[in-house]
Amino acid sequence: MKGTTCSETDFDGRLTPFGISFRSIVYRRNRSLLLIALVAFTSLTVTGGSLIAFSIMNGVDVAEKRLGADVMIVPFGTEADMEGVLLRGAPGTFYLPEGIEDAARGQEGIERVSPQLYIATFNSSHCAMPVQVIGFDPQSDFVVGPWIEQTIPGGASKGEVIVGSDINRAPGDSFLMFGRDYEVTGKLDKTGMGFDRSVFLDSSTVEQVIEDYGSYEDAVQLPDGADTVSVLMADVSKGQDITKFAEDMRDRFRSEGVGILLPKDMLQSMSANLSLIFTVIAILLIVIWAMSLIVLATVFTFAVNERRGEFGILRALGATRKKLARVILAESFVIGIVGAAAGSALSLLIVLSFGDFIGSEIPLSFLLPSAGTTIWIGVAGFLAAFVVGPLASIAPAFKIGRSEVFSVIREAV
Amino acid sequence: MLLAARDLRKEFISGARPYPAADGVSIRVNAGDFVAITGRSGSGKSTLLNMIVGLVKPDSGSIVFEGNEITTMDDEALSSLRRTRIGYIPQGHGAVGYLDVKENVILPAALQGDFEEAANAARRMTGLLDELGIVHLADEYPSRLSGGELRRVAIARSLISSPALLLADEPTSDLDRETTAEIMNVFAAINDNGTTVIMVTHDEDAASFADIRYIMERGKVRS
Repeated sequence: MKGTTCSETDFDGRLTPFGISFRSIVYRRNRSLLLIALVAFTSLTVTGGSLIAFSIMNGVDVAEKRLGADVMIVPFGTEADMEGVLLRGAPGTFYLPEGIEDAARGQEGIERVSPQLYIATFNSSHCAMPVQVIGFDPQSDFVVGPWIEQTIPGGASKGEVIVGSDINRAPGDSFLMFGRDYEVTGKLDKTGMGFDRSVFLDSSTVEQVIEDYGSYEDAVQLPDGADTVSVLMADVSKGQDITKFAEDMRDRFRSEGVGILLPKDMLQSMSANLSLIFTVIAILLIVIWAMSLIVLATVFTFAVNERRGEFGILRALGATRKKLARVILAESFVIGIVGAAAGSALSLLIVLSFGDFIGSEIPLSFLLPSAGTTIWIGVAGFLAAFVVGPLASIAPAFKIGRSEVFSVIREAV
Repeated sequence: MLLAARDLRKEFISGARPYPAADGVSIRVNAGDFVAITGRSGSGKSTLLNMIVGLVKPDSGSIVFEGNEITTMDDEALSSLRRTRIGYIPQGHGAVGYLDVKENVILPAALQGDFEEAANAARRMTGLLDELGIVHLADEYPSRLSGGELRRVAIARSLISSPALLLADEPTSDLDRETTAEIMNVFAAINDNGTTVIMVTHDEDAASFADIRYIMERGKVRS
């Protein structure tokens, strides 16, 4: 044999099926990048879609807890405004006619009643920002009071306000309303509802606010004969049919300009819409997943056929059928893992970064789930997309293992 | 006796017609032999070689290599045989395009899955590449090599596990006369070092390097 100068290489001979697959992925980088992008897209849509669906469900769940009254008594014609205030944070100002609170308290079947005042601040220099002001009576309140007490023990005293999570103020800051500064005494947790863009104050502060508010031309002036009450939150007695009770209330108070709103119905109609939305999202995600699987399976089948000669060489050099299948599966495994991780990470990044924007664009309660749930959704989206690769390559991997090596080896490059 | 093939039969179907690629083939090869199997295209010589290496299962007959019957071995045992005891040079250059020369050469040892053995093979590889005059190409990819260089890579790969038997399927096809002579000298040197060589070729010049010649014709062999 020919003699030349001997020189050592630093190659240690390690070349696993995984290493062989990795070399192939790098060598065919355009094809690999395309497949990785496809898996990433699947992962992005599955993770992102699931996260948004979970956020809406979470929002509805929290809304159910926060709207903890059986019945809301509102001025007739403002039912839609009230929904806007509660669910979408669209500020509004309205007042109940005078005497409704006393009449409601005297109504048979009512267990407890608590008044709330709703005023929208101005988008002007007299107010910090346009928000919903919600005044409540700490003595009778059973809806927002316990929640506030739980988060901020002691609540707000006279001249103090508590702000929702989306309001850019911290405890100790001041908050300008109708030309007067109020001290922020606490900040509430996020609810995904209009409460996040609301300012809460108790009845001792309401008086001052309403007086200041009324001094502006742009104010919705308190009509003659109206109470400084916008809505009455009411619970009915145990065993009472809430729907029947609401119908009776509507009949009883219609002539006095009062409408009845049932939080249960509000959430049910939202839930009915949600069922449809979730069904559409689920179908879309399944279609995208299945399409990815079909495309990947087709590409892998073509790729394996195209490389029959190369696999024949590996068999001829001593690769068992199992090892050959492992080489092919390892390739799809790497593509799956890189694509799925990239897609899930990108999806989490987008939804977490733009969660507030997405929430404001969706006309439903929207609240990102806890960190733990979010991580699980990310992992589930990752797994759903990741399995596409190996699933798509199982059939071609085993098919090439069963092929007659003698015939495929002639196709070697 | 290193290898004894007895009464091998293999029939392929071409279109609707069956044709016998091996029709009662028997050959015997002793350790240290340099055997050439020649014949026209389609005479069944490559089929015979591939039956010996376990890549084609005969319809009937027996192949005994180092005292073990090959035709009844399972995939695991046959694969192990190809990785360790039988070096195989397929038709064409047979290199894996995305692996460089050293990785291509180490493949049979690496497929063992034994890192220690692979490390030993890697140490042997440098000497082997050196002897074949391609050590300077260790980091090159097949697409940058000439036909003769690729054939040397395939030879180095077939020898990496120090096999008892080297099988070469048309090792000089598509090479010019000068390169053919160089490659055949390499085979002769390998044989001189004690490795048994069985080579399939239709090139008379190449066959002349062998000590023993079998001629195949329509699936039958004559010496």
